[in-house]
Amino acid sequence: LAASPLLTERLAVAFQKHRRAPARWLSFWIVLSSLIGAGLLARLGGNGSRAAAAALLLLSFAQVFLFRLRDAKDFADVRRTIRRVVLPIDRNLGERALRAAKLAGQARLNPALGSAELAELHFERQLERVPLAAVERHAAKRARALRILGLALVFVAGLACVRDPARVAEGLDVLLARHGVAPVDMAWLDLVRVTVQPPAYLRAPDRAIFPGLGSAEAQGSAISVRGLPLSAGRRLVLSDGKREVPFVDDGSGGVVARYVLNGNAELRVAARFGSVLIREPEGVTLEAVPDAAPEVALEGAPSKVDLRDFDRRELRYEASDDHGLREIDLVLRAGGREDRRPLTRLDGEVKLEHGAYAIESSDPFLKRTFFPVEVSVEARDDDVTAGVKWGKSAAITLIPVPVGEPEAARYQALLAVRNALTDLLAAELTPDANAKDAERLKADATLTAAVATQLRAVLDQRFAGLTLAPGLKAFLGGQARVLERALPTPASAMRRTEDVLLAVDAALRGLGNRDAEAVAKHLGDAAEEAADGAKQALESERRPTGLMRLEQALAVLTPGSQHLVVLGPIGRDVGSVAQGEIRRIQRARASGNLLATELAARHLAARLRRPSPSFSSAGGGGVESGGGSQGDANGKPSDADKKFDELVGELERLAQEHQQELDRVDRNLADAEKAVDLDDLKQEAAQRATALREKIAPLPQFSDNPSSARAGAALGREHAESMAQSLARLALKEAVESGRHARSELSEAAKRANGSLFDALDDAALSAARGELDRDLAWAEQALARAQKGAAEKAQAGLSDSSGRERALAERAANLSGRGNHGEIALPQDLSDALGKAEGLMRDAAKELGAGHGEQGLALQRDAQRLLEQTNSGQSGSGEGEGKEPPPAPSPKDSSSSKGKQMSMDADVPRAESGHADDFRRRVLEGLSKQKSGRLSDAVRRYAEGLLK
Amino acid sequence: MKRASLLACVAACLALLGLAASAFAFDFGLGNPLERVANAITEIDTARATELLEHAHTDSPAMTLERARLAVYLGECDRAEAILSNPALTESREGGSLAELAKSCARATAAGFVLEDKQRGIWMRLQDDSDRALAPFIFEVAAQARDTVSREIGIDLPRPLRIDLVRDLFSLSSVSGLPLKAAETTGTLAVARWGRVIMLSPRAPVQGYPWQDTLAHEITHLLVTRATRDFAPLWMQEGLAKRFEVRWRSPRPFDKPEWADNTARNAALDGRSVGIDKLGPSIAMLPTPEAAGIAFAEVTSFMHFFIEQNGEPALRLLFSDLRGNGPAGPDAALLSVTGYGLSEWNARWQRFLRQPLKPAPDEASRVSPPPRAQADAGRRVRLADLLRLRGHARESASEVEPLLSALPRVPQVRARAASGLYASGDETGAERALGTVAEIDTLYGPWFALAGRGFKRRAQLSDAELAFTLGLSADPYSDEVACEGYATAPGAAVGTFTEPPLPTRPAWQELCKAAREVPRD
Repeated sequence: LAASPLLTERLAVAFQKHRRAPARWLSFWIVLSSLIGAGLLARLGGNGSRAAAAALLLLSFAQVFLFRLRDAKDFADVRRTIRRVVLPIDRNLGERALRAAKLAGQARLNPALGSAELAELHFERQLERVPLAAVERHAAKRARALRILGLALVFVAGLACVRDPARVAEGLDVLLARHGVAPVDMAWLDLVRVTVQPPAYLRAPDRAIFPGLGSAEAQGSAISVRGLPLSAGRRLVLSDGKREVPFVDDGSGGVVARYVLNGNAELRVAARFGSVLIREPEGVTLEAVPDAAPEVALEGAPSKVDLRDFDRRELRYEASDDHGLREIDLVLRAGGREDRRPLTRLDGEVKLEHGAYAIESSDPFLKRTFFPVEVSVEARDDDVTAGVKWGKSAAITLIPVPVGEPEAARYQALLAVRNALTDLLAAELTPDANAKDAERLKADATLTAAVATQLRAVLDQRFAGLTLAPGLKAFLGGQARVLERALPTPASAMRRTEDVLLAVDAALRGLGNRDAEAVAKHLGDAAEEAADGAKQALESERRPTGLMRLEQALAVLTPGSQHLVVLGPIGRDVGSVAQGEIRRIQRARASGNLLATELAARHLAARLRRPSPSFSSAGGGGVESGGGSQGDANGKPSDADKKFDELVGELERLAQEHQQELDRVDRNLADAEKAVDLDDLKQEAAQRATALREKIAPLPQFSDNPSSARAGAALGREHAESMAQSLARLALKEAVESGRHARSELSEAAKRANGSLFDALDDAALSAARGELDRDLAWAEQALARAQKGAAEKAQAGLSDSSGRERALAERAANLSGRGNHGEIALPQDLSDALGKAEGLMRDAAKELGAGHGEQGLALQRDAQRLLEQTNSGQSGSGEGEGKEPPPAPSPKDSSSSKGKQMSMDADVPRAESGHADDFRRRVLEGLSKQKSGRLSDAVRRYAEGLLK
Repeated sequence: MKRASLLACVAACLALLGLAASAFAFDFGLGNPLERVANAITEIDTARATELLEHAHTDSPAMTLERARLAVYLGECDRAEAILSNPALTESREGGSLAELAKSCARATAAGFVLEDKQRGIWMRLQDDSDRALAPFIFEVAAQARDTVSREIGIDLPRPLRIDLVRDLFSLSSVSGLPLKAAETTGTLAVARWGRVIMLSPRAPVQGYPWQDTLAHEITHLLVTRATRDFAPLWMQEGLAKRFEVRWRSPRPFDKPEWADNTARNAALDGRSVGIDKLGPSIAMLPTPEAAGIAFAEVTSFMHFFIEQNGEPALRLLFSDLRGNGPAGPDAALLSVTGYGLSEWNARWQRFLRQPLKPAPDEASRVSPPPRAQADAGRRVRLADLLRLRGHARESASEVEPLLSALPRVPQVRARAASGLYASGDETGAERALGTVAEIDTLYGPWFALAGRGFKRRAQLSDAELAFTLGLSADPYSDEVACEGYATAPGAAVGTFTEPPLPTRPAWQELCKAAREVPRD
């Protein structure tokens, strides 16, 4: 078929001449419309739609190659060309041509079939018979159809994208998305504005930020993004990459999204298409600044303070916060207990606060605790967004005095005295046989004085805040006096030493027993804490805390019981019980049996709270076993403490009875005064009162300077006014008293006015007032003297009786004074002196009363009463507290126990301003130091003496 | 013949059937299983009670309550408390009180120190492990008392005998359930309850107490309870306990066999008699120690009179009758055994009391010391103690020596004088001051310890042993008693303190060490 290609080429050329261009355009249109279709399909955003769109695009591109491949193949092969070009025009001719082509091919391969040239020729002739014009017509017809098809596609594609051509681009962007984000960013909003609204508790204003610039904002701020949408119908969101906030209509044509900033974020406006996001090219980078916890600094923390030497400490603190403080608390923690005391409450805007709080050893929390107390200051801010945050200072740890240690130290100190007395007695029992009595007495006096000094030293000693109770102190002070008495013979000195030794021994045992009871009860609380700790440790989730509480409590119990054993008979007994029980608790603990630990600790707690002897019986016991236990062959070794208590009791009764007598005299005098008839003076007194008021009216009422003449005149005017009122009521005594004050003040004012050029005063008015005052005062004194004379006559009978009673009381005082100075017991020197002086005053008072001088007698009685009250030291074994402060009241702020309503204790205490307190004290002392008279003057003097002590 | 054979067969079958039925009734219970468990527990047969409970198929509240009771009898109070934590059990009065007891008992006994003498069959739990030095002595006395009284009463106690040695009255009350106030009022030293002896440690009273007789007393209670299934009336319980508390040992000085009759007689004459049938729930709960003492004397005297009149076999019959017919009351049992009821026996006993007795010659010759001497004694004894504590032994003795003439029969005075003289090296003077048993009135541990020391020094070892044992019976934690007459002498003042010698016998050596650790003043 050598000639065939030329012939078929001619046919192909004729065929392609009209058809090629339309066919290629059609391919182009197919690709274009597929692109649009794929874009619109992919915009739905789902994975299926995106896959379908991708497939559509691939197909469109494939058709271009497929069609070209087909043409190339068809026009390269003779037979395919005939089939493609000739058959559609003339089927018979085409089939003949195909047969001729086949024959020519076979002849060329197999010469046996015939001449190859003839067959070739036959084939060429068949091809030459094909009319080229018909071929061209046919091709033109096909080209037209392709053009129509192309136009149709263009039309449809145009329709699809003419409404919103950007949709195709968005779709194609979505189509190419990876990990849910489209590769090409697009603008969605115009006129974007970003505003930041800080959390409300910060009270900061809203502010705008530039979208393109980074910004640091408070955590919890609300970020608002506003803008005008560039295209409608998009689902716009504000995204930080993890979280999206949808934009909503802002009501004014724009859209807005509010995003709460909880962490660092890069915010971008984006449009969501199914699972794909197309973001804007620019974002807003925000750094979230968290609200820091307040910082609290406590001066001197961290540190440890031993409560043994602790009396009072000022806790100075400084609290700061980045935004503002709301509250500052003092927090005390010990074991499982916490006491939180608000120091100040703030408005949440103060960023820095200083303050101080004084904690004292008498604090109820400290008194009750036996564990180390962690004292810290905690402050909280106002962060409602992330929750309230407390900032905590380092802690000052207060190490409590081990339970029972002060009591044991006090006991040991007195025990040392008893031992010294015992050694003294031993020395007296075995004297130097060769020494004379005088030598022995001299040697003994030296030893005795040393013991007395030792005893006195103990009386004033403090044992970690603990002292001896006043009654016991007086009793032992008296024994020191007894010890110092000079005695005539060695035998009497020895007897005296025995008495004092037994008295001190009795006091020591009594003190020990009382202390033992108190310490045991305190240890009972520790045992209860151990039990609670063990119980808590039984719960697996709270085991470490419970075990810690248990160990802490055991660490308190062990030394506490050792101290308890020291404290007298009850202490020895209950202490040894406690030690056995502690071993039992430790045994249970060592075996890992926490339930048994708890049970044993509960038993110990109950036992310690009932600190009675292990075996006590009203009748000595032993009824179960016949003989019973044998009582020792001893009565009470010494009743010195009993005798002392009797003496103190009699002194108390004497003071009470003397007070009653004093009241009786006072009442008698008052009744007598009332009984005096002063009606004849009434009118004149009223006239004088009126005159006095008139004269003092021009005097000044106020003055800015308290030391000026005007101030003196004003004060004098007040007293004169008071006098006028008393005169009007015919209260002569008060009138005289007020008049004397007024005279004194006006006189002082006159002196000041004369000495100063700048302290102007109306001299004439002042002189007139003073003149009138002097006259009225003189009249009132005369009238009062007359009235008192009359009253004295009326009170005479009563005063005479009182005199007798006062004398009897003085005798009793003398008797008690004698008992307090001689014999087995003695009062301390100061009390003995006071009693002696009181006795003398009472005798003088009796004389005055007997002579009818009621007022003088009464004054002496008051002096005597004051001294009698000084002798009231209390019983030798008095007081649960035994030299301690009163038992602490439960802390109102104990968070672990406070229930129900309680009085608020967190009011601000005014701070001491420098000078004011000192001024007040000075004024009080100055006022008290002035000579006073009247019924309360003695009470005032006693008060002043108390202040000066 | 055939007929006879048939009858014999029928009889044999019936007999077999009856035997089987009775065996079943006895061993496996045709009766109430709850009652059988309760009886076994009451009779302190805890092994049988445990077995019965294991095989009991009912789990009624009453049976659970018995299980808790058994736990208490076994001393397992914590287990009893756990059982009784069921509110359904504590609704009843019995359950409620048992739960309360179990709770307080569990607290007092948790992690107690347990010692057991398996050979003697004694189990003892110590609340305070310091008491372990006394354990060998307690084991010995308990076994001896149990075996002797068992033999005399005719019934044995199951092993082990359980003893709880508690540290104080508070714990005694917690473990026994006896109200603390009542225990304090009457001075209760031990209680036999819940199948155990609950006894106070001799270290609780300041000068100890006669713990050996007390232990025997309580063991007797357990035996009587077991013998009568706890149907013995109180007068019988206490009367027999007093009778047998001294019979486990040989007679000792100051045993007063006539004490009960004399006291009962005097009480009757003075109108202070309590009456054997008016004892209330417990002698320990009588209002005063005096009343309790008189009550003890009366019941002891009564039981003594009863046994004298009827013999000991009658007592065993009475036990059997009470055990079998307890709910009918003691009156019925007395009537059944002796033909007389309680009121008749009471009248007969009171007639016996009206017969005059000759006072003991030594008692008649004794004269009470004048009150002034008593007061001076208190003063001198305390001074002597203080001087002794400071190591002034000679001076201590000289303080009390004047009392030897004023109060010659008071062993406390003699012991102090002798102790001081011994410590100052004057052994002859010490023994002279100590005197002899005939010269003292009461049992005082340190006196006997010092006497033992003297006997030992003079190589009179059997007398020394007896004296040490008597001292031990009275006050085992006195350092002089525990250390065979050698007290701790602090000697702080003179600075010549030397540790006194320890006893050679191991048990006494341990006791001596324990006694020296007891704090004193």
